Amino acid sequence: MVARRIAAADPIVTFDGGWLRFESLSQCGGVHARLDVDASGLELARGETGTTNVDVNPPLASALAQVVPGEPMRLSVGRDEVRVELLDGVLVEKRVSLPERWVRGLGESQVQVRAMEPRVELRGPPVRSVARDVPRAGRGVVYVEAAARGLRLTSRPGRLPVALSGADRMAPLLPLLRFADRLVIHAADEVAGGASSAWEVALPTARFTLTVSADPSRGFSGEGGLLAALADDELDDSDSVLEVLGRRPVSSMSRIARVAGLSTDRARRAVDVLSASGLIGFDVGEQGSFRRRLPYGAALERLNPRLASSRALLDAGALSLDASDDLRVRVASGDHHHQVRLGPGGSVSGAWCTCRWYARTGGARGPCKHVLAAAQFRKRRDADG
Amino acid sequence: MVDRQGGSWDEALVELDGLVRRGEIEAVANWCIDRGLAELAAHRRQLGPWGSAVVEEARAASINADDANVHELSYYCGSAAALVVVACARSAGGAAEALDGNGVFGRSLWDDQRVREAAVQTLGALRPRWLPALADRLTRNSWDQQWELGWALVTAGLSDKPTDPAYLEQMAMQIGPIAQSLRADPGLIDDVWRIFEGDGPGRFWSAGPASPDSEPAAYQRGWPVEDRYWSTALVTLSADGTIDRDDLIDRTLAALRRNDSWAVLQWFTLLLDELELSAAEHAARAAKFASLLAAPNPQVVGLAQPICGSMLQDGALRPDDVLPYADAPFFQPTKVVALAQLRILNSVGTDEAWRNEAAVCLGPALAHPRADVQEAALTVLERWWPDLSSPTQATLTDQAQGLAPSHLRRWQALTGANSSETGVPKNRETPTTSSSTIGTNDTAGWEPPASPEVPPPLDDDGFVLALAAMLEGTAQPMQVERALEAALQACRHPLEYRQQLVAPLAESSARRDPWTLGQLGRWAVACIESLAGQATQPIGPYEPATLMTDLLHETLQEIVSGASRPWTAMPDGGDGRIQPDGRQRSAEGGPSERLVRLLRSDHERTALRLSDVEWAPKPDHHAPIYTCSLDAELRGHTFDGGHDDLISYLSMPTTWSLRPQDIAWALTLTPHHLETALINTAVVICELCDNEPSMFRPPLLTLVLERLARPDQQPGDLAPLITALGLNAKPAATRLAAVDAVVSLIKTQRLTTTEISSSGARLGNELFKLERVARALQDLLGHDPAIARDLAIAVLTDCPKARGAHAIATILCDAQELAGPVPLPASLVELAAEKGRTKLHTELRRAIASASKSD
Repeated sequence: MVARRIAAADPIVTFDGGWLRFESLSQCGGVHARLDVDASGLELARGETGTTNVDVNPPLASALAQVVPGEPMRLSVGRDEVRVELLDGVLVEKRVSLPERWVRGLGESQVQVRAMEPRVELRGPPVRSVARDVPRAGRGVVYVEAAARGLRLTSRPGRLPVALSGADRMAPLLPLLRFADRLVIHAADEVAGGASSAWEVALPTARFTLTVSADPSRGFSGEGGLLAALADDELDDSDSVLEVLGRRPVSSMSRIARVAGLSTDRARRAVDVLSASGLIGFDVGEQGSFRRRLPYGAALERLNPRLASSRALLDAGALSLDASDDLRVRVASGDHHHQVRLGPGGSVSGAWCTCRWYARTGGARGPCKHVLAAAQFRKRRDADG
Repeated sequence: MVDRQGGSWDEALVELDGLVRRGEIEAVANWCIDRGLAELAAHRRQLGPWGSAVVEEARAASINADDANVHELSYYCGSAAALVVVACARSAGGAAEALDGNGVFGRSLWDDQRVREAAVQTLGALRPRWLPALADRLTRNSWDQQWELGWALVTAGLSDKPTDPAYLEQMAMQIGPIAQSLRADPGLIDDVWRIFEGDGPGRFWSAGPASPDSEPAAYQRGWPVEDRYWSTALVTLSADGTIDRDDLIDRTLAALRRNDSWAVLQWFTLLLDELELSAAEHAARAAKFASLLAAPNPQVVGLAQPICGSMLQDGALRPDDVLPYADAPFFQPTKVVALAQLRILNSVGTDEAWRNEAAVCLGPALAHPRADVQEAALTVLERWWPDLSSPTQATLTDQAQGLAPSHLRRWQALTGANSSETGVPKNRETPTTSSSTIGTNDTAGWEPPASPEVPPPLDDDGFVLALAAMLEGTAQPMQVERALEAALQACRHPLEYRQQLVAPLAESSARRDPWTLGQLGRWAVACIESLAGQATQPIGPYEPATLMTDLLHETLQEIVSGASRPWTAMPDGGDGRIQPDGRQRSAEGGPSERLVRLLRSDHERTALRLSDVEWAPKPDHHAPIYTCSLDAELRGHTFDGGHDDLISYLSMPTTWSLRPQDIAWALTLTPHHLETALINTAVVICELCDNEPSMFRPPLLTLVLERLARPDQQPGDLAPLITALGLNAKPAATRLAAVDAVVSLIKTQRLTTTEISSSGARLGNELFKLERVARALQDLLGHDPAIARDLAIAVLTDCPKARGAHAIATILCDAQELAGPVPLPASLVELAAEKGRTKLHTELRRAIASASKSD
């Protein structure tokens, strides 16, 4: 039923001049799928950059399933609608509001993908045997590695491990393997018993990338990878970064930094902030960011409850520095008191807290609200002298 | 008080009581309408309890009566009283509650047309503000079971028809008589089409009234067949022109293209079957049927294949209509679908004009997971090969990389090329890595799994975090031991230091309800209290008592008494072992700690001996039952336990916790005596062969297999059995752990393939399913073909005629090609020589032939 749930996900459509991208997030929030169609492979009548988000209703889904090879299809993507003209008629889907959960998920998934590296690459017939090798079900973690005739599964990580949990989530990828001639699996190192991975399939004039979270029970939206950047509200380089991405469809971090005249850290922070609003995505195939032209950007606190809570703690004056150690901060949160130990230089990285969130996640799902507040508190204290 | 009719209210009430008790429901409806909504509301407090009491009286009378007339009177009396309560209800919820008379009278109060019409008449006249909400609720909620009344309110125009899937689900389940209802309300057809498009509960069509096997009570009312089942109703309506037959067929075919489960799709196949399409109707939709060959669901593909095959023969379907989809069925793992597709392509390829295109579509069959599909594809290609163009031959050669090793000779004979020319891996050589540019691990030799490391001792911060993790139930096994150690060490500090140390947790731990915590959490609370100089709450009692619980109690007592000393049972490796040179540790520690120390350093396995370990298959329990006697000679240790069952004491307490990390910790207590953890968890382990681990079913089998894979683990008497069960496991993670364990056990000569296979054979075919074992052997083939070959031979020798043995024989052929042949045992040679033509015989003869060619 995962496939059914994913099929119910409604796409965000972006045209950036080079690619026509259809993105979707599963209902569980732990699977992100993106189909990038190469614009040069389309008979493009007119092309302006932009993004829309529509609800694909059963009649359109059903009609698209009926399209046979060679049958003409005209697709018009506009700001307010997607129009599909088929031999049987015209179907129009109107723009809908993008769920906030999706915005969070899109932002966090791109942070995860950015940290990945290619670990398996298959070309030719072995790609098509992947459908045979990937388990059709299973909750436990298995490891995937390349073999001459496809993929090999093991129970323990190899030299370049790709951990896969919830293999049934790969269902949307499998029917496409029939048309694929290249598969690249990107993965990050395992953290806290899991790692997300991105499966990129090259199709004729298109690419399909399926990113699955570390575990079926973990959606992207709760990973907290953007919170550190969002908590730091000192500098806002968003406009510069958007300008760079407006000039070229896909840009690497180093190019963004260079063209915008920013340090890599500041460029990354700006990209993170924009990603958290859903305005930037990451193309793992091209190792660069691309822009989504969505009407979001101001609701970061609402989208990130931990960030909002950390600011509430700061506003309430609930923090105090330990007299003996300026990396230790005492946080009064409701009726509880927690102790935060910040990382080197007062950073969020390497920090810990005695709260329940930290005990449960070990910091693997981003900083807790106390750590976020403590880092800002210390920074302000330093700034105040 | 005077009512609207000019009489006194008391008189009106007397009149109502008489009407109700006589069951004159139409008159009761008129009475309510005459009074009006305002007057009824004004007397709600009187009418509500009165009406409810009358309903109860009527129920009691109905239950106690034998006379049918009394039953009938009670029914209408109860219905009339309930109608009064509904009429004066304050909200839709209150009205729905009053409607709840289902089942008491043997039928719903609102099931009867007289009653329903009276209710609609009353509510339509009174128009309470909650009426649309009531209709919406009744047509969407299954638990109200008043769909008929809700639908009557909708059809009377008193409420809009709901649009959400819950309504569609109820409509599909409840509406009836189906054909009659659809004729009466053609608008319902649009709702039906929505379900066809996937916007509703497709599965209910197959599980509910749509299924010929299912006749819910609501559909046993003597309706004609056309009104009972959706499929027959739709076929009837299409026959009489109420709905367009062509539209119905096209929508059905569109539904079958959906990526949905078979539970949903099978109803559409049933409908298609009942529509009995004519040859002309098939021909008119030839391209659509051809496109079903690429449907995601293999059963749908299986449905389309004979129709396409037949149309191809009749000329109704052109080869160029079918070829765009003709390769798709080979991506289905189902053998029968692939073989049927081979027959279709074989038929297309009989025409030389289409042979090349057909051969290209057949290419993916060469990489099909089933070797017999590959074999059948080779048979077709052997006939076609000379006629194929060079580009087609090149394309097929590319696809042939996926051939099973045992088919490579045949491929090379067909193409006349050697393996390097074909691009196919050579026999008995490591497969080529040319198809993969990064990450290929075929050339890597086997490396034994490393034992996890023990984390370093905790500093103050680490101790606080470990206590926090114990409180939250997220502590890792060795982190817990380090916390025990750190707690004992902390006792040497003055009270002020200790208070400061645990201060960050003191407040939150004091707020915890001990009953919501696991035993580790309770221990952490008590430890924090003690270190802070507070009175300590007891952390027990625990049932059953285990070594682990004793350990926690013992340590806590020492912490409470302020004793500071080293923790002497800390292992040297993450699996729990204390290395031989670590045996001479301090003799400090309580009896439980000394016992842990002893067990963890018991390399000679003399401290605790399981003897006469025996087990027997119990297929009816779906588990083997272990028996053994335990020689509990705990050398140098005065253990008086007081526990009846020492094995339970040493193994993980199943009622204690089901979290993987806790089980992993429990396993570290007996690193040399894995059997103690297995003896009384046989049922759990066997359940895990068939089911994915979950929060209620920990990955015990996987954990044990991972332990067995470590070269320093001495396999006990039960290791072959556990390994055999692991090979038989359905979850991929467990099966792969078993494969790793097999490689390690054989490579390090701790076990033989014969020991594993003989245990499997003893389990029998119900517990050692060879189809599953073949899947594990397929995985093993990718790791070590020689071990796969030897194990396949051993399994075939021990289970020569078990169901699925042919699949093992197929793996044997491949393994021989990759690892080189070895002489088969005489029993298998004799079996192959029998006059059988089964797949097992064929594959065995192939294995023998392969060996002789090699010689």
